[in-house]
Amino acid sequence: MSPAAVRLVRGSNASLSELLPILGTVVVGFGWKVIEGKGPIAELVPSAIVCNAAGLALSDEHLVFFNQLATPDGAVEYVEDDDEQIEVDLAAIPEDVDKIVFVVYADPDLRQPGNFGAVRNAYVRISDRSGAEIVRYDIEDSSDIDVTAMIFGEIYRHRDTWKVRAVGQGYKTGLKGVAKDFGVTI
Amino acid sequence: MAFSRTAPRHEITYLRRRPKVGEERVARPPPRAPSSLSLGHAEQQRPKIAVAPVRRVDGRAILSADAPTVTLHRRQSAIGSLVLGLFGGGGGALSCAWELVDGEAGLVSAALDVRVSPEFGRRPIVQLRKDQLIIGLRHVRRLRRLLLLASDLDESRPTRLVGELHDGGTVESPHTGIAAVVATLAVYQVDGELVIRRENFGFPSAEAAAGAYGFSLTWLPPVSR
Repeated sequence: MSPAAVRLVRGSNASLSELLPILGTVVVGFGWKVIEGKGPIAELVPSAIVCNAAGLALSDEHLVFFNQLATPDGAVEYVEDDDEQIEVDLAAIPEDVDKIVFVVYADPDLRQPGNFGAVRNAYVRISDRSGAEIVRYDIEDSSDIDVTAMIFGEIYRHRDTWKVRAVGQGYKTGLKGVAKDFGVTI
Repeated sequence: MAFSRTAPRHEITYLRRRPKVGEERVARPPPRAPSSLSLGHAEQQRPKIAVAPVRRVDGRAILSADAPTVTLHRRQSAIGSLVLGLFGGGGGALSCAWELVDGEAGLVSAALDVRVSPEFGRRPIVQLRKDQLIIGLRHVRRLRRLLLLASDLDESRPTRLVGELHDGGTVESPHTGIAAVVATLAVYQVDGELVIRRENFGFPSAEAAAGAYGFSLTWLPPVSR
């Protein structure tokens, strides 16, 4: 972790507008460790849901993940790399977007486990394009066999600025439950 | 018959094209060029190509000879598992030829005692488990195509091949035993979307079907310890 980065705890927030000299593209990175057993391992998938003021996804295409690589306007984009990253161009986010929610779900493959039971040291961090870490949230208790999806954090509008909040909210209903809450057809 | 050097030789084609001595050449005008270079003119000249609307799975999609194709959207194509099974009175056994984008290909078949394929996240991307064929969609972008095969189908009573998606939607295709092995469905990954097409062609064996569709079966299953 960069010594200059702001460290968040669950529920806390920080102002990206204050931390960034120029409000442009930020890179949202995700990380975790999965303890491997003998059988199938949990496959975690990072995603972003781009929401309006009502807290709902603007459309089904506003769920960004490895198979839906960018929002129609291109402002939120999944980066195909070894690292799990999503780029957000804050300057290009349309006016009708109120927040971008970052969700990690365990792929609900029929062949288990599709949960966070073996997950350790999960985190989400925000860097600028140079890779310098600005904000980091180490999730307090990411290991939970009942949790099948989790909101790691969100970037949201606050008056005329952008802020980031550490959420760390687990779902027991998986991606299906998340999709229902945000009005996405999966 | 005496050979005449002056008589016309109509049986020789290139000589027929030669103008006779004294014959006036008639210049033919070149084909009319478009009077305008506008795109609109070119559009009028071009034959219309009918583009069928993409059919999606919203609930239950039944494939038939008249409506053989359906396309899963990006979320349906990449979340959870696609589970395929045979239902109905016609019996049968499922097998599957698979091919990855890197060109590796193989056959999953109970008859060959090969029930697995390359693993991602310690799950075979195509796996035969009991009577079900499971396709792991987390790594769908590594998949190029699949060919679903059914053997030992009843000749008269139809069997339904049913594929179930994570959202509960189903893709169904009825088949009878037109041959020892029936190629039932072809599945192609096109830019993250799975396009499923009913085939219904008969073959003497699964290997013959895979060969006819151009699968080069290179992959060998790991040796069990």
